[in-house]
Amino acid sequence: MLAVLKAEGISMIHESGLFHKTRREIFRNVSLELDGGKTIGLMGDSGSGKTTLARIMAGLEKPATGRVLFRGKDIAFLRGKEQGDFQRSVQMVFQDPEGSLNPRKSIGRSIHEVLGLLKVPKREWLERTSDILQTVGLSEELLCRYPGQVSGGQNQRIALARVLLLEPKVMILDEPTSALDISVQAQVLSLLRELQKNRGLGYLLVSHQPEVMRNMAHEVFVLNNGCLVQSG
Amino acid sequence: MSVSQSLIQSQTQKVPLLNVSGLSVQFETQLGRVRAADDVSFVLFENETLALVGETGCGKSVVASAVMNLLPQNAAVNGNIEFEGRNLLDLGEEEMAKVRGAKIAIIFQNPSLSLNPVITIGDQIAEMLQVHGKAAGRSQSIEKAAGVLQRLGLGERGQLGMYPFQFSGGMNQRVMIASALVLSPKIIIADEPTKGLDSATAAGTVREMEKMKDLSGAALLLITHDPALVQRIADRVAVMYCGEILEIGPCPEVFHEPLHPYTRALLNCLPERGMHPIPGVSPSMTNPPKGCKFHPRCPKRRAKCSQSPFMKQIKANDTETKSNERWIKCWLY
Repeated sequence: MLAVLKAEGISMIHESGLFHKTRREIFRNVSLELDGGKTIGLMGDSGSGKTTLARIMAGLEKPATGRVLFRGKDIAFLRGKEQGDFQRSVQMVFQDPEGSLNPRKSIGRSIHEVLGLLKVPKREWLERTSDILQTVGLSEELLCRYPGQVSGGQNQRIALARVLLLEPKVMILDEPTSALDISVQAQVLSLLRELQKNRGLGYLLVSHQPEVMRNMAHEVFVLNNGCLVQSG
Repeated sequence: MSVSQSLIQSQTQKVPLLNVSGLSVQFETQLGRVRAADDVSFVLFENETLALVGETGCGKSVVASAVMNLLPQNAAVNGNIEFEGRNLLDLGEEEMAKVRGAKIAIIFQNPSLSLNPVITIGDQIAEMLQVHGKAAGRSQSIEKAAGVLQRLGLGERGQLGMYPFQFSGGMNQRVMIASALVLSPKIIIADEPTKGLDSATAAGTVREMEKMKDLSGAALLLITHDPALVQRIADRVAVMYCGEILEIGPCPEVFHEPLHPYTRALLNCLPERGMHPIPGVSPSMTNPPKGCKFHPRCPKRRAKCSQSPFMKQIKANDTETKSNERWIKCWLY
C-alpha cells in the first residue's frame, strides 16, 4: 500500500553571501515514510536541518534534489483537486503557538476562517466550532479573545483545532511543545496521543527531548552530519 | 512566629541572607486586580541555591522583580524583604541602586535582549565597575572585566570588543553571568536562565551556572520551570502555584517524595514520569478560587479545602521525609 507521505532521496543545500556565494549541504539523500496511526520521531542538534526537513515534507520548501511523494505522486507536480487533497491531508503545527495565529483576529474568527475556506455552510459554523473546541479541550468563552489574551498552551490547542478542522491524515509537528511548560506540554502531548488513537493520524514529531520521543514515537530518526540515521 | 522565622529556626546551622516574609504583589488592570504574589515567605541562606519553580504566570518572576525593586509603578507591594538588616521595600531609589548589581545581581531570561546592542561586551561589564566605583578608570575596569570573562571562557582580547549580536545565545548568556559575577554580589537571581535556548545551549548554560556557583560562593535564587535544571543545581526547592508557595524542602526529598498534591501532579507531567497532565486549567489570577487555590483541580480535595490552609512544618518521621526542613501549605498534613 502506498504511504501517505514519502521522502525519496532528498537533499538540501543552503546558499549564502551576495558576492562570494557559499554553499553548505544541510543534509543529503534522506528517505522517510509517514503513514497514519504511527509517530515518526526526528531528532538532531541545532542547525542539523530538522525544521528544514519537516518543512520540505509539508511542501513549504523545495528540496535541492529528490522528491516528496503524496500517495505515490510527486507533490511538485500536483495540480487541482489532487493538490487540494494534499494541502488538506498534510498539516504542520509550528513551534511558537502565538506566532501561528493572527494577533489581530479573535480566536473565533481564526477558526471561522478555516470553516469559510472549507465552504462549510454558515448555519453549521457554531456547531462545528463547538465540536472542535471540545475535541481540543477548550471552553467556548475563549472565542471572543485574542491570541495575546490566552496562554501558550491554549494558543497551541487553538492552532491544533484549526488544523484538525481540515481532517488531515498526517501532521508535521515541529517542536510543538518546546515553548510550553511541562504541565502544558503533558496536556498537549496527551491530546495528540488521544487524537492519534481516535482518528488514526500519522505524526512526524520534531523534538530535542529524548524523554518525549520515548513516550510518543514508534520509530526515531536522528539527523547527524547531514545523514539520517535510525536510532530505534 | 512568622513562617520565615520558623524556617530560620529549623535550620540553625545556616546563615540567612535574604528573608522574604508575607510578600504580596497586586496589579490593578482593566480586567481587575491581579494577585501576582500572595503571602510569599521564604529564606535564602548563605551559599545555597534555592529554586523557585512553577508554571508560567504563577508569579515567580514577580517575586524576583520585587526583591530587586524593579516592579512597575502600578504594583501594590506589601510585606517584608529583609537583607542586611534592612527592608528592601523601604529603600529609596538611590539606596536601592547601590544594592542592585553590587549586592544582589540578576540574570534575566533573554540574554540577547538584556544586553545593550550598541555597546561592546567589554564595556558593558566594565561600566558596572565604574558606576559602582570599583575600578579607578576605564582601562582598569576593562582589565577586571576581561578577568571575569576569561574565567567563563570568553577572555580573548578580540572578544572584549565584540557586540552582543556577534555572539551566539549561549555566549551572551555567559556575558550575562559575567556581569552578574563582576561585582562579587552576595546573592545572584537567575530568572529562567535556560528558557528559549536549544538543548545544547541550555546544557552549556547549566554548566556555566554550576561554574558560577563555584567561582562566586554567592547564594543563588533560581527561577525556572525546568525541573531537570532544578534537580541538577538546587539545594532546596520552593513550589509556586497561582502566586503562592505551596511547598518548600530539600531538592532530593521533594523530587523523591513530593508531599503537596500539586507538586506530585507537576512532577507527573514530566515525560520520564509518564506525562500525566494536571486535570483542569490554571485559575484566573484576578478571581482565584477561595481557600486552597489548587483545590478545584486536586484529586485529594475535601470540604476543608475551601478554607485557606497555612504553611506547616513537616517533621522528620511524619512521613518518609528525612529532615525537618520541609514546609507545606495543605490541609492533608
